[in-house]
Amino acid sequence: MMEPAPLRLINTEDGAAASEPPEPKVFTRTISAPPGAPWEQRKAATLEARIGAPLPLRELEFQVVRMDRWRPGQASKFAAFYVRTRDVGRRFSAEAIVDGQPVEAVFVGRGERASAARKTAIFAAAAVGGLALGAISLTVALSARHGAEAQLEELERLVRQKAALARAAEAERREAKALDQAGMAGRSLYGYLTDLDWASAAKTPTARIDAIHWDRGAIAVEARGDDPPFAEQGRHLTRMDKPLRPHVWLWGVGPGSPQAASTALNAPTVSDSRGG
Amino acid sequence: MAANGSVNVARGGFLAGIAVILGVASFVALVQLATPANFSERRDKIGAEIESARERLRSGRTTIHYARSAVCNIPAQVAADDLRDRVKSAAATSGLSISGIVATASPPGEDAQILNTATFQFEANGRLDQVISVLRTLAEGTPTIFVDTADLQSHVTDVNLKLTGRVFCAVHVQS
Repeated sequence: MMEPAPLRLINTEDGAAASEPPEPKVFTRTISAPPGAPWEQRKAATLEARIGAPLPLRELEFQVVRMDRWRPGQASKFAAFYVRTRDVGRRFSAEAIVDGQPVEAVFVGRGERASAARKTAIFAAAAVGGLALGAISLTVALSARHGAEAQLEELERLVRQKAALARAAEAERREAKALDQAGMAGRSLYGYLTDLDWASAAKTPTARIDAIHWDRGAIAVEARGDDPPFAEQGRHLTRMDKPLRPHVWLWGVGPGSPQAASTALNAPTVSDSRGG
Repeated sequence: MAANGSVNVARGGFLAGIAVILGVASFVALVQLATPANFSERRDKIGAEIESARERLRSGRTTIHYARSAVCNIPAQVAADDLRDRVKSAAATSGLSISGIVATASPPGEDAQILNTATFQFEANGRLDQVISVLRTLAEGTPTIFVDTADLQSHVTDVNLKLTGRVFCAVHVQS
């Protein structure tokens, strides 16, 4: 059971100078809280102090101060301090001798509490703002990293493509050079067909051709009769000194122009102007 | 009061300094966070590869008078087998009679640094237009067929063609 002690008025005017403003009147009482957890004892003492207030609570400020150390299974003693709200001012510290021991209670005025609450609110807002700014900065940084990473990967992909293209062009050039060195220029099947087309177009109406020999780009034609089998059409004809067989002569045909060789049959060639 | 004010000014200055240091550190950390991993190395590598590719392409400005797929990228023996199939297929399509078809991969010589060779020969009998048709079909395929010798003999109504030639394959492709 709670054991409220009778209210007692602390004489705060002892020794005070007459010119100083009168000290606020502070009432004290002792409250005994039953055994329990420390916070439960404080809660019970606060409730008892609230119930046993000498004036309506809206006119009062009160503090509950523990007077002894908490021990498990033992009741505790609290001192309740009461002071009129209007007497507190900004901050007021009251000391009293309760049950023979000095006890101090600090009262903070409502204005002071509001100011502290404002400061706390400002600090909390600043903390929330800082956290939000940090979160936004982090998001922006991660987004920028993601974007830069994507651009870098795209660039690396393009560079790989370009490097592959350059390697292919280099290999093609090397192979073309090797083909030239092997004497393959003008010796594709297209080249042979171009020569056959030329022979067909240049053949004279009276020519009787027995055979066309083609050896690495050189053309020799077996034709009957003494007359040239071809109207020259850009190629030089040479007859052998003696006939191969009676009335059959071997004619040598000079090379045609390079353009004729590549365009007569529309052969697909690569005019390579890659670079840069 | 004055002493109290100077204490507050010093405390404010100290807090401002801490705030500036924290701000700079945060900025540096965010810049680091916003930068992809190994950014400098990757950027330098990209630059070097671009320059290398540009140099290769610049030195390759030349005119090449061969088809783009003139050289095959398969082993020469495979190319020889393919060539035999191409000749047979083209002859069958045109109804041309083909005989003595041989296609073999030549052993790579000591100087074959870039190209290997598959040689072939065959003999065809038929009308001239059939022979020309088969040759055109073969000429349109890849790799490019190069002719060594071609003897075209005219008979009464038909012609006889004896053709020898070769195709080339890149040396780096070996079975």
